[in-house]
Amino acid sequence: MSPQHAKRKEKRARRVSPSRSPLSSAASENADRKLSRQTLHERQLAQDLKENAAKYRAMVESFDGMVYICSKDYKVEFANKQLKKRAGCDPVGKSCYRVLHARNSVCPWCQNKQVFQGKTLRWDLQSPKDGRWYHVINTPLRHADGSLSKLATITDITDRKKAETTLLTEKEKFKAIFNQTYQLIGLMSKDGILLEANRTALDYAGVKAGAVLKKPFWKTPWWRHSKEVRARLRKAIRSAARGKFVRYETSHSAKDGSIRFVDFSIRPVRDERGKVAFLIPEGWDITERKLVERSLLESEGMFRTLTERSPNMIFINQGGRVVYANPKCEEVMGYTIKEFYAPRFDFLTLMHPDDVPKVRRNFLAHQRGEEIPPYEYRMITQGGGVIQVILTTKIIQYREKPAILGMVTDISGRKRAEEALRKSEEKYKQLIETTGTGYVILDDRGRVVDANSEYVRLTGHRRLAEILGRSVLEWTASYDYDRNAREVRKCFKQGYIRNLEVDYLTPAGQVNPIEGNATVYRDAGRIRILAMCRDITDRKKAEALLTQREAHLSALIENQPGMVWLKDAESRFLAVNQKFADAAGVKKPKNVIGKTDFALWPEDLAKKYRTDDKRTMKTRKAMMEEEPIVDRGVRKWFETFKTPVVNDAGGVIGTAGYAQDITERKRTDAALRESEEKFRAMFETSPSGMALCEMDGRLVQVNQAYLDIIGYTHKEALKLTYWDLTPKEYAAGEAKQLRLMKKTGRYGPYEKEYIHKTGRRVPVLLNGAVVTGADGKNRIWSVVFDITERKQVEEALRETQLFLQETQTIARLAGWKANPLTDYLEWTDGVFEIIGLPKGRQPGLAEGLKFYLPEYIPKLRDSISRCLAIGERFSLQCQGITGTGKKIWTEVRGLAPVVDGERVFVMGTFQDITERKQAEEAIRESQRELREIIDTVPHLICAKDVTGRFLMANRAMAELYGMRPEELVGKRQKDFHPVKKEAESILAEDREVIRTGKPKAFSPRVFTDVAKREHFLQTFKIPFKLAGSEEPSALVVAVDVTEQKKVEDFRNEIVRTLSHELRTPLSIEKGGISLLLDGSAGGITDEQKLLLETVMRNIDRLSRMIDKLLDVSRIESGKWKMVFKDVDLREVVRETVMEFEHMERKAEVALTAVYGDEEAKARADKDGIAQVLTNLIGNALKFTPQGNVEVSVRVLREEIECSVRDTGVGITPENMAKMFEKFQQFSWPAGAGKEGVGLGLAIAKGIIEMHRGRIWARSVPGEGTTVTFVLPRSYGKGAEK
Amino acid sequence: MTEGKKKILFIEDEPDQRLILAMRLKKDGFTVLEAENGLKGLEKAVKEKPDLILLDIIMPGIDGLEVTRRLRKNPVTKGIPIVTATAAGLDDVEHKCFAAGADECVRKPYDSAELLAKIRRLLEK
Repeated sequence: MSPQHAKRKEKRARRVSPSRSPLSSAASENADRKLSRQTLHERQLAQDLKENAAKYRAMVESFDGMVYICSKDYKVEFANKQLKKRAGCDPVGKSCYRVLHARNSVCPWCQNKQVFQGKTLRWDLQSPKDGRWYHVINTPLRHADGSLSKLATITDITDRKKAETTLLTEKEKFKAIFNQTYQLIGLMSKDGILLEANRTALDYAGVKAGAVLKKPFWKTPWWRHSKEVRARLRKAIRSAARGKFVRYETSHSAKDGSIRFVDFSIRPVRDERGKVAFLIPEGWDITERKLVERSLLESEGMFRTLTERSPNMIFINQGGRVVYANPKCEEVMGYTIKEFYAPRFDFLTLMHPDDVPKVRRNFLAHQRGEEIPPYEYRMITQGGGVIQVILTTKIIQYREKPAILGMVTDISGRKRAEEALRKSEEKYKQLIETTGTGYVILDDRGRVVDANSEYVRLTGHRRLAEILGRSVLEWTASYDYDRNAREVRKCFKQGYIRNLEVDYLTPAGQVNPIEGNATVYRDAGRIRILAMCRDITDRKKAEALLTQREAHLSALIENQPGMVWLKDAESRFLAVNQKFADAAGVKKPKNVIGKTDFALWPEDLAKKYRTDDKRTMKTRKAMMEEEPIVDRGVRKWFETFKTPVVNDAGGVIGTAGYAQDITERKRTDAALRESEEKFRAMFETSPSGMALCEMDGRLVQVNQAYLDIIGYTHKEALKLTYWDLTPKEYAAGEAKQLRLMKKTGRYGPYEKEYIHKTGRRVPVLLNGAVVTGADGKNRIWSVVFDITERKQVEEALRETQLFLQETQTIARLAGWKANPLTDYLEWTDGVFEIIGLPKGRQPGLAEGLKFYLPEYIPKLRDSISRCLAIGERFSLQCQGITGTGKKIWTEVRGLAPVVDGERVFVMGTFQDITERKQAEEAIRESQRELREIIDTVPHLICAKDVTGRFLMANRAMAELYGMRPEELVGKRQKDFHPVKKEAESILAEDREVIRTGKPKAFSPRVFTDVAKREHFLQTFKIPFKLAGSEEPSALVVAVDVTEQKKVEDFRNEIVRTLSHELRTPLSIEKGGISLLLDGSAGGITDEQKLLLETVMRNIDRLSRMIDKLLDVSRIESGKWKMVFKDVDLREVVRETVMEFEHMERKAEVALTAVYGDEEAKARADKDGIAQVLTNLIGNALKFTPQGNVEVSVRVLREEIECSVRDTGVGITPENMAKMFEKFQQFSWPAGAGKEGVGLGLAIAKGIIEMHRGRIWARSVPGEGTTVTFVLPRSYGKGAEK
Repeated sequence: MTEGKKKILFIEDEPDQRLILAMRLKKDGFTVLEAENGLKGLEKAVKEKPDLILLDIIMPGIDGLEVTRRLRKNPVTKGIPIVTATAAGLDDVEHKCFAAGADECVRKPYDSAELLAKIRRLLEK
């Protein structure tokens, strides 16, 4: 210390010590005793000062903050305990900058200059030394001698700062949640003025906040589309303002002008007094759901139309009961729907007794979950009729239970045709039955004599001509050449070969593996080989694939870190990995195969596993659980996952399981939980103002800060008591604090309000202590913080939190904040609630993610990291398992806000969307169900719009184009249909149905598929309007009648050939016999004549039969040429009836014709119609022993109707259905004539249909029959319809 | 042949067929009884007790198979040899005929020589 310095110090000490003296000595007291009045006064003053000094000392020492006084030249004159503690020494006499900041010179930011000019300065600063926040007050302290010092109080406000920051972040977080949610949320005043709307809501309407806030909600753009919606909204706001929660479905207008549907509600929020303070409008966008519902309705509509109008019987059988039957079932079987659905109805009564065992067997197999290929059997109608049917079945989930969907096709007609064919041509039966497989006929040198198209295809050629006369060895792969040749020789030797597998090599170089059987036979003395070949490419491929898959599977299983097993439906192990074998104490996995759990584990465990398997297979759902497993005698915890194994056909064929050792994880989880309990963060706030009061509350001393808080001057303050400043409602709280103080000597900190001079309330935070003054009296020392600002923040937060809570409750929406780098995670209470964990303990990110199912975790982790790194927002739907073991669906959204130029955390929303998912899933499930039904149907089904674009297609339809149904949808048929002409006529049909709005059946037509194979499709088209669309479409159901068509073509061909061949010998016979009869060959006896006439009669009969056969085949093959002209039907009737008049017939039957004066013109082939009439009248006469036959013509509005009515024997209902078919087999009533082969009506039907007319019959057995046909009416020249 | 002409009952719904075949059988020395349907045939069989019955399978009313079955059931007629005739071209028709109780089965159109040979063989037994 320099001499000059010392001198100055001494001088100041002298000057200062007598008056100011918080530290004065007893010596000066004695000196003052004998002083004058003035001196007395001074003494009094000195006494006061002394007391004051003690007070101050107490005050200062009990103050939490640091206090020091320093001179203008920075010398510390006083420091309280706190400061000393911080400085680590007694700083008095030292330079402040050295003590406080460890600097060697005056701090550049020192405010002494201003302070010594008389100013008081306050500021918050963050110490570079410890990083904490301090509130600093520097104020000049005037000594009695007029000299100045600086009084500095430094309060640690770090905690307060922290609290404030936290609050701001909270608010920020809420804001983010509020804005991010995909729901529409807002805030309204009671009278419906919009105060707040979230970003989602604004985005939907495409408006800025400024444009809608502070406006009546019903006048905002969301509702511009409808007056009704606005009116409904106003009504809802009025109800909500009265305190009612209102919820309804409505729609709002989106920015692109579309209408979106919302589940809308208005929730009143009440203030502390229970009055409605504001309203929260909230909308849940349900547009997607609506759309899904709509599409469901749509597909349901399609389904209904399909099933209700199906030409086949469709039913659903659940546990032996018929739970659904379409109208066709009623129609065909003669039972009512009610009878079908009756619980006691036994569907087996519908079966032909001989077929009951077969049906029962298949039904039981179905009950066991096995799929059955379509099979044939006979059914008996209620009226006793027998029909031959083919049943296609499929196991489906119907009303969440397995059921059998069945489709019954009446194949009686086909059966009869087949029967007729078998009778006429046994020889070709074999070939027809094998259509679909390739067949080839070879000569004795292995050269092709004949083959069908499938065989030609197998050889890689297009036309039969290309391979005729060539040796099969030409397309046999060289490596199979010798073997094939050997087999052919073997065939000649033993007469047949079976299952020969050979590869064919096509000219294009493709290998077609085939399997064939061959037989040797003699054809007119020549040796032939007939071979049937099957393409086994698919089988070969599947075999290869299977082997490959098995290898793949075993590698996969063996490399799993956990145990893996596969079991069949009886819980026998099919495969396990080494880990599993180890755990089971078995050396090799193969030793486990074929065993059950009972062979490996204790009985209780094994029983449980079996139960699990059954449940998994029954529910078809995977299960996951943590369970103890005994591994080589040690009990460990495993996380097991068991899932049903479903085959392609949808049948459960077993279970698969996976188990992972989580013993270690379980242990660390427990340890972690324990250690984290210790680290609970707590908040504390610090004081600011200072006051000393008597025990009765009288204020004795206050500082400026305190005065600032209460708004009084110093003088005024000293007249007040603590109670004057305290609002009455705090009395109870004060009393509690007083009790506390008496007990411990300290009180607080606690919050209350002070009454400001102006009457306003000032929120404060108090704490304090009892101090004993120099006079021995106890006083209360209080430190007071004005927390108005914080209160305001808090208030705002409280409000928004209230709001947030409402939002959370409404939407099950919660928030989170995370940082993957530090494994930081923070959940709002909502998250804990949703995932069912106790609130409070915040897990780390890694632990938090374990809530989700393992398959979601990597994606989530990745999204969070990306979000943090590059700010990419995300929204994921993930499944997790709650604390109660429930599986729920959640939606997680996240974003990373930029704070101070960088992203430090990711925050977002978390919402339970299980219900929504379930609703979606349910809808999807029922759609899948419908889809399955439609795909199961053997028919081709599709819907197309007016341009031929596919709106829907089932599997059978798509397969014709070699596509999957979803690929076909959206494409236009004529853009890809292989044959342009066909596509055009298909489109014309579609358009016709759409235009007329009437369903229509179309006769079979050629349809060429993608493989250039020709199909004959019989189609039925129904006009259909998709829900929500004005555009009409055509729903098409087609039956592939190719096989029938082939059979019929073949038969027609035979009939034509045979007929022609037969006619020649007949005419020779006829000629010869007539020569004998007329005596040209010499005289004959009466007996000879009788015989010859009999023969002649039968030759004529045979000729007629042949003619009719020819007619039928001509009609069916379209070779019947018709000449259409305007024909008056009355005339045709008259002429035909006249012809019958000339013929010999029974006298007991009268034949009459009845028609009016009106012209009955139709566009018709006169000869054709005459033939129809001849057939009908002929039949009527034949089956009418006595009575009359009446032919009548009537002119209707658009048609000409012609009927032939008889009073004959009639037809039974059973035979009625078959009467228009060819070669009917029903027996004629005894006594009736037998002439003809039952082709008359079939021919009549064919002719009428070529006229686009209709023909039908009505009959009452024993009373007679009426056959009626109608033809489109013609209105004169050229009026062709 | 020792006790005069053998009696054959011919049940056939087709008159021309009856005429021709009856004539054939008569020429070969048989007495021919005719019936135009199954019921009438059964009546005649009981009444006349023919030595052999020749019958058509496909007939209106009760068919030949049914007639055969009834004949075999009736104690009066069960010992009478039965020859069935059919125009159907199926193998199993013959099985059905034998199953119903027929002794012989011939196919239409008839080969007179074959038919007569079969009839004679049955009558000699």
